[in-house]
Amino acid sequence: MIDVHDLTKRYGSHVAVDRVTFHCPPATVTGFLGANGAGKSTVMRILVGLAMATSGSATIDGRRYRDIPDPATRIGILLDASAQHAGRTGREALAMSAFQLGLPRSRVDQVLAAVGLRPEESLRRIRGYSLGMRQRLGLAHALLGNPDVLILDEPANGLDPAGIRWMRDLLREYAADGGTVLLSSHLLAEVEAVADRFVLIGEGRILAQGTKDELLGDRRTFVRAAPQKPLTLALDEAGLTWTRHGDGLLIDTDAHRIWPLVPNGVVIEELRPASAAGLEDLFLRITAQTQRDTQRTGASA
Amino acid sequence: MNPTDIFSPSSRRLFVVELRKLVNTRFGALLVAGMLAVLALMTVALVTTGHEQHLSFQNMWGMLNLPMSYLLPIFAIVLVTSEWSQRTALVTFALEPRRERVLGAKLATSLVLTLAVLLVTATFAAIATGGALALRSGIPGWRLDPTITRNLAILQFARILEGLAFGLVIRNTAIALVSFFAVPTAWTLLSSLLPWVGDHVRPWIDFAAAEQPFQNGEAPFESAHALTATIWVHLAVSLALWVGLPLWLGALRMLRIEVK
Repeated sequence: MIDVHDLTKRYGSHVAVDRVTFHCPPATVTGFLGANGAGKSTVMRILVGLAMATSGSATIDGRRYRDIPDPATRIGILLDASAQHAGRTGREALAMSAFQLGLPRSRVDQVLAAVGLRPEESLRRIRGYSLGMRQRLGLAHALLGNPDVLILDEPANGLDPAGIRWMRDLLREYAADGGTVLLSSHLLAEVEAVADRFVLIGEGRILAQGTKDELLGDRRTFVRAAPQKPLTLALDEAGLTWTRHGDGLLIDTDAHRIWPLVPNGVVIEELRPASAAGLEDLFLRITAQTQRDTQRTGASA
Repeated sequence: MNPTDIFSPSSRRLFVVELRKLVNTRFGALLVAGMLAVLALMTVALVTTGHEQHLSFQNMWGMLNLPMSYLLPIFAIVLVTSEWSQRTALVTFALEPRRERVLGAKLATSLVLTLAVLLVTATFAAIATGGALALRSGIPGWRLDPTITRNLAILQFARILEGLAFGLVIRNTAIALVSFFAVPTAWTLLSSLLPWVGDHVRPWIDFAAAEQPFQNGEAPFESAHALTATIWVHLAVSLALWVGLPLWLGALRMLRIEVK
């Protein structure tokens, strides 16, 4: 259980994190979304004791990270895959941490296998690793202590499509086993595919949070019918509200409630949930006022 | 921190990890290999071509330690700066958020490394003495002077602490290494330009100058003159300035700084 409460971080007069409150329950993947510089990484650094909060609290299972003995056996962290000594081999980096945590050497082989790094790759110096391999090594590092909480900053960066799919499956499985995952990303589609809950942050403030259904709470249905008149009459009769939208109708209900109302002789040409565009639209809409590229990416989305 | 924590299993493992960091990078491995190569070459050179009166155990031990007094601080500098230059501090402090323990482990590692270097150089000096006794005649042989040995140890421990302090304050590997070796040169330059400063100020605040009497590179090594009270005070003042102060400031910053 990750619990961030009223967290604020100031750098001089600049407020990087502004009264942020959210929590990540066990057995879920929480997607932490925000534009570059929104404050995601700062919140994560405070959460794991690498930065100090100005006020508020960030705890894991009720304790500050610094107060947890051998925290890496409870919490796995990947904040920056390139933060590894270039002159060390991948295996040595893991073996050193395994030793520090009092874990058997065999654990190194286990996590290497879990992240799909081959033994001969693990014996190469990290200098020669691609970003994707560094992400895998970083994830292996996070998994080393067999933690029940994972905190990952942009873990999908640099992974190829197969790697992204692999990461998604791994995290889903991890949460299914009762693990807690906090995962930041700006790859929205990727987070949408893996996360149960979402926390949207912009300019250090929480903009929205909740499950996908709660956030994409638009249950309206878009319908194109010919002729349209008999359908609108039937809708009025059933007491449903509707509005014209382009060459169709936006109806304030689920698709399955509309089907029985369609009168004989009316052809349904199109019928779909109004919110099909999903998280990306929501994200761009919600962050429109804070995002620096509003003009270019289009606030109308 | 509870004093008994210093000897807890996790503190011991942390210490071993820091010791391991010295040698498990390519740079560390090359540095160790370089040290051993220098010692081996010097041993051969001393035995075959050294002047007879220089070939005592004590003197050769001291001579073998001279190049070590330059290589040893590099280990301490890199032990600290690589955490920032290679950005491993992120992992180090995530594994052990009680940063004072990490710092303690690095200090312990530096001191143990110094002890190891003194023992390794003593081994090479013993080999050299044995070799010289077998091959040469009229040499002093197995002579050991407690005072010179003590001075040798003081010198090497001071050197590695200077390296640690430089690393803690400067935090960038390249800049820390360059300034560590440039500062004494700058003093030499300044002293030649302003002789008064060189005579009266430098011995107090230039650690390299203050260490000179302890090092006593003048051959024969054993004829080290008695260390006057002034020499001790010079060393104490320059060490306070170049080790105590930066160690304190650097440690405070390392304990508080945000790791990115």
